[in-house]
Amino acid sequence: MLSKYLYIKEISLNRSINLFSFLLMRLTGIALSVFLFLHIWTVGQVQKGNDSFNQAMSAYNNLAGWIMEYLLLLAVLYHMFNGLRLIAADFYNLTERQKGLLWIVVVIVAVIASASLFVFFPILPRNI
Amino acid sequence: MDRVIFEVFRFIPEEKSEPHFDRFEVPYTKGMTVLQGLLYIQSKLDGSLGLRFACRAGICGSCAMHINGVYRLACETQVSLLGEHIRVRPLGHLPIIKDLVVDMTEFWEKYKLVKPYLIHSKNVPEKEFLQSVDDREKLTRIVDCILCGACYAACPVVDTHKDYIGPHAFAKANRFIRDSRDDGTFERLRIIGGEDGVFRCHTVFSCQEVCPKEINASGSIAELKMLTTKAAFTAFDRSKLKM
Ligand code: SF4
Ligand code: FES
Repeated sequence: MLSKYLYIKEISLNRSINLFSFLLMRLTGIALSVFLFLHIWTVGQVQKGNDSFNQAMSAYNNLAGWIMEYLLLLAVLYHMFNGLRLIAADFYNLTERQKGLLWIVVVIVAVIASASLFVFFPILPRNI
Repeated sequence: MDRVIFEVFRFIPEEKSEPHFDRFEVPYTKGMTVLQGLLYIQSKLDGSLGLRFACRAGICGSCAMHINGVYRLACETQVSLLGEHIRVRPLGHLPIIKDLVVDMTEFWEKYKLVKPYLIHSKNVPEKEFLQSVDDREKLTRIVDCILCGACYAACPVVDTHKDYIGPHAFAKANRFIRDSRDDGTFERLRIIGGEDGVFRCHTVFSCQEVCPKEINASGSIAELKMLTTKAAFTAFDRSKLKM
């Protein structure tokens, strides 16, 4: 059942970049919805006072936390820019250009992701 | 290359046999198509192989199947482009009758839903409908659909939502809506904008990618989404709906 909604068979029969980009859109969408609850819980700690909030936030201030936040950034970037690509294709008659738009999305995500590496990982040297 | 290995999907649901692939060695001849290879197998190696074809020229649309990872027409696919190994399966998303032959009933039932014919509400001329060159130009390419089913088989939404009408029907609906002689836009939009209509499309672009006639069904779906949205805002005012 789950494999059906992750389109495992579809992708194995139809290995095109289109299906991969679609699957990634879906996975990032699910991941972001799940994250939302974690986010609400963390921020919700503020109701219990300063200390609880600071303690909850500090739980993310380690390598695992940085990696998670970085993956979150990647998910947001891809989901957002690919979403804009699909809107552009549907509303501005750009369906024939969709492949080119996908590569533009990939480039934008890659550029922002590499520039953000230094922000998300404080252990990296800041001035190379 | 003097021989080609064909791995062909075999399955007879009536006999409750196990689905499997049979291996055949076919001598290669210059210019050979996948369909020719399959016909060689059928006439020389295994007469029980089930497959569908008619025109052998990319016109009838009956030989679409899954060949080396892509849904395409067997009669238009050159063996030389695929190499020595060819793996053939039937079209996806449709029940198998025998080997490569699928039951296309649901494909046609959904096709009929969009009323794939000219609908006239105005006066019908005595002799014939005239169409300007510009109006005919709007139909170029999209009239070439041969209803092969490749787009339907490649669409992942058809897999998860059995009632989704499908790209073949939307491309055809778009073809008639674009037609200057047709007045059926309003009737079609009711179905197209419905629960199983264009808004179920996840914009995966699989249909656009596989079409052997290079028809942009994704573009048709986008056009229909726009038109349905406009229709909703104009509260289905027929006069504003011609494209
Ligand atoms: S739109 Fe293309 S792939 Fe779909 S049925 Fe028509 S010819 Fe075949
Ligand atoms: S046999 Fe007619 S399209 Fe291939």
